[in-house]
Formats: sequence, structure tokens, C-alpha cells
Amino acid sequence: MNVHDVFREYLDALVAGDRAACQRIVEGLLDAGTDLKSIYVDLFQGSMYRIGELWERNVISVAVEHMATSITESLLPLVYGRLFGRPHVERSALIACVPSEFHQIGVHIIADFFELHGWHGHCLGANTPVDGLVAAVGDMGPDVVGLSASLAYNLPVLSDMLEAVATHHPGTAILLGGRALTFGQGEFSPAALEQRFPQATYVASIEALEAYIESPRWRNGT
Amino acid sequence: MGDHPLPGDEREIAAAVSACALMFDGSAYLSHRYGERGRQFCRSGGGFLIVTCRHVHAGFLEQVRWLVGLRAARGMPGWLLERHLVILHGCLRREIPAAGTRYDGLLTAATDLADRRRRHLAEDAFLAAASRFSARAPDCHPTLPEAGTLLAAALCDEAAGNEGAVRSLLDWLADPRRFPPEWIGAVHATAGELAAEISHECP
Ligand code: B12
Repeated sequence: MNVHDVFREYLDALVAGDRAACQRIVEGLLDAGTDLKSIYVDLFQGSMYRIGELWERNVISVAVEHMATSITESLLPLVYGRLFGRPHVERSALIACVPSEFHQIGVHIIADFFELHGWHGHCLGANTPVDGLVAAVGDMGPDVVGLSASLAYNLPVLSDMLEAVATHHPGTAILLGGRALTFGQGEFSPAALEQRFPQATYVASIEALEAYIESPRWRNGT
Repeated sequence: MGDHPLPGDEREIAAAVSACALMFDGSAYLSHRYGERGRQFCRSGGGFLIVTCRHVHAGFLEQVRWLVGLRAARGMPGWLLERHLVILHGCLRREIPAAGTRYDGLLTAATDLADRRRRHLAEDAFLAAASRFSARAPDCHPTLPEAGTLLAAALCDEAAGNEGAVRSLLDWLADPRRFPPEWIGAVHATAGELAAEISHECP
């Protein structure tokens, strides 16, 4: 059984607000040993993107969109049984949404994805204050900090947060992600941000994140 | 989905509020159909436009085009956003005379939307749509002078790929509980006539 086979059924259940049916589908996929990456990207992310399109086209109401979000958030922990039992390396990542960014499912998934690759993945969730993040990086000392922005108008705060983390923690690697960056142009384009802050790397996809985690830099422990 | 961001500057908020007052006071359609809640959405939409224009620069047009789709699917054709952008720019200039070119992105976006609309219907035909409709429905609802223009605008939006633009306008404009049969007949006849003139090609 793969995600493709159950996607339609899952999306219909999500739109209908049928949490039990959604849960059954996810459990079925887990029991069948489905690749976790596919559950995250093709099922959770794919269905939430569809929910966004349906809302945009006024096919579903804002209430249905909220319900789908809360169902998705409640299902993420189902995967944990297969995540946390894995052997871990002593590496950690701290992922956060920039201030005034409330789209937090992506950052939870990214933190989980680090777990999947044997790292400790910590997530601070939505709307993280700049000072709070800078302090948390100091306290927790992660190898990597991940910043997320979904809305284009949050690109300036992403840039401010990046500057604060880079200034206070010049030795920490910083990853940038989220759909806002696909709109970034000029000073907020991923390339311009990477150039201004050489410790920052824009990660455009899960595949790029996998390649980053598996890169010699982290495998060889430099 | 939550609220759009508020601009940080009080004068920008004042401009967003007065732009919506002008939009709603100048449009019987907007005030009849969307009422007080619509005014609130209009204000938060104005906030979104100001913040995005001020901060996102080059990516602003893409955001405005997204907003066209979102609103068109809710019965607000892109032409209303064109007007909103121009009015908002005027209100900002009045509130913040020293702003210089800071908000000119709003006008650029309005021009972009108008250009896109004209790809599907020539400007003279678009401008004539209002009188075309009132010629068919002379005595009913003189309070909705923009009905023909809205039809033309929704047809352009639909031709540009914004699914549901016409249906969501007709849900209200051709609602038998709201309008007499002659009005509804005029709506459908005008829409049919205009649809025949719409170009679906994307140059
Ligand atoms: C759910 C949702 C909400 C929820 C979020 C709740 C929550 N708990 O997260 C709520 C209701 C709060 C919300 C609010 C709004 N939303 Co909303 N929302 C969505 C929706 C439908 C799904 C988001 C989601 O969970 N996606 C699934 C996750 C897994 O995907 P992701 O976030 O892209 O993350 C992946 C990658 O981007 C990447 N990634 C993300 N972050 C990072 C970070 C790092 C370091 C790395 C490496 C990778 C990475 O990896 C992730 C996993 O693959 C999207 C649609 C969409 N296309 O995303 C709209 C969407 C993003 N929202 C939108 C809008 C407009 C809004 C509002 C402005 C609406 C309004 N008028 O009030 C507000 C703004 C609130 C705010 N200030 O943040 C628009 C944005 C359009 C635009 N112009 O940019 C969208 C696209 C809907 C649409 N189709 O129009 N929303």
C-alpha cells in the first residue's frame, strides 16, 4: 500500500472532518511499512496543499480548513513510534517559524525529519520571537537552526531573524525554508540572503534537506 | 484562516480604512452584498496590500494576482481590486505626502491587472458593458450601476483561469430571491453577449 492509493480517500475524510477515518488510513500506511518520507510529504503536506487550494477557490470554508489543520496536527504524533526508536547521533537541529508566521505544520515536519535521520530535532513552532530564538540557540547549542516563513510579507522578518541569529551565533549553520522563499526576489531572494549570510543555506525541498543532512560536513563530523 | 497583518504605521492604517470606505460607499454591489463584514475584510486586505507592497517589492505582483483569484472566487472580480489599489494609493499619498514613490507598486499592480483584463476583452467593450446592461434592464435596480462592468470583469477573470469567478458573481447577481425575472434575464443575456466577445487566448 502506498500513499498514492489512499490519497483521495484521505483527502475526502479530511474535508469531511472525519478524524477517525484519517487516523485509520495513516495507521494502515504505517502498518504496511510505508516510507515515512512519503507519509510526510505526499500525504500530510500534499493534502494540506490541496486544502489550501480548495480554500483559495472558495470550494471549502475557512472552518473546514481549520478542521483539516487540526486533524493533521493531531495525526503527526502517530509517526513518532517509528521515529524515536532509531539510533541517534549527537547532532541537533532547532527549527522555528519567524515572528508573525503561524504556519507551523512544516516546521514540525522538518524537526521530525531530522529525527528520521538520527538527529535530535527540536521545534519551537509558530510565531517565535527573535530574542527567544537567539536565547534558545545559546541555551541548547544546536548544530543547525532552521527558520521558516510561509507568507511573502514575512520575508523581511525572516531576514531580521537571520541577521540576529547570525550575529549572536556566527558559528551555527542556518537553514532557510518555507514557501515564502519561492516568492523572494531582490534582497529577499534565497541567493541574496545566502550571500549576505554565508552561514545560511536555502533548502528548497525535502530531497535537498536529505542531501544536506547526509553531506560530508555532517557525516564526517566537521 | 487568521487575519492579514496590520501595517505598523498609524497613517497607513488610516489610509486602509478610508480606502475601504471609498470602495464601499462608491459601490452599491459591495455594500449590499458584503455589508459590514465585507468592510472589515476590505480593511484587512488593504493592510495586506500595504505591507506586501512595502516589503516584498518585486514579488508583489504575484501576491496581487493570488489575491485576484481568491476574491474572484468569492464574487469580487479583479476589476474591484484594480480600483482598490488605485484608491489605496491615493489615500496613502494623502495621509503620507512625504512617502514619495514608496507605494507606487500599488499603481504598477493596478496597471498589471488592467493589462491582463484587456487581454480578454478590449477596453471599449469593457467600458460599454455597464450601459449595455442598463439598456436591457432600464428600470430595475438603478442602484447597481456597475452590474454590467462586474459581469464583464468576472468573465475576464474566468478566461484568465480564475475558476468560479462568473458563478460566484451570478450566485448573487442572478439570485431569484433578490431580483425580478427581467433583471435576471438581462444579466444572463448580457453575460452571454459578452462571453461571445471574450478572448480565451493568453498572449
Ligand atoms: C493550514 C493553513 C493555515 C493555518 C495554519 C495553522 C497551523 N497550525 O499551521 C492558519 C489558519 C493559521 C492559516 C492562516 C493564514 N493563512 Co494559511 N494556509 C494553510 C495551508 C492550507 C496549509 C499550510 C500547511 O500546513 N502546509 C503543509 C506544510 C507541510 O507545508 P509547508 O508549510 O510548505 O512546509 C514544507 C516546506 O515548505 C518546507 N519548509 C517549511 N518550513 C521550512 C523550514 C526549513 C528550515 C526547511 C529546511 C524547510 C521548510 O518543508 C515543509 C515540509 O515539506 C496553506 C496552503 C499551503 N499551500 O501551504 C495556506 C496558505 C499558506 N495560507 C495562506 C493565507 C493567505 C493565510 C492568511 C494570510 C489568511 C488570512 N487572510 O487571514 C493567514 C496568515 C496567518 C499568519 N500570519 O501566518 C495562503 C498564502 C498565500 C500567499 N499569498 O502567500 C495559503 C497558500 C493558502 C492559499 N492557497 O491561498 N493558514
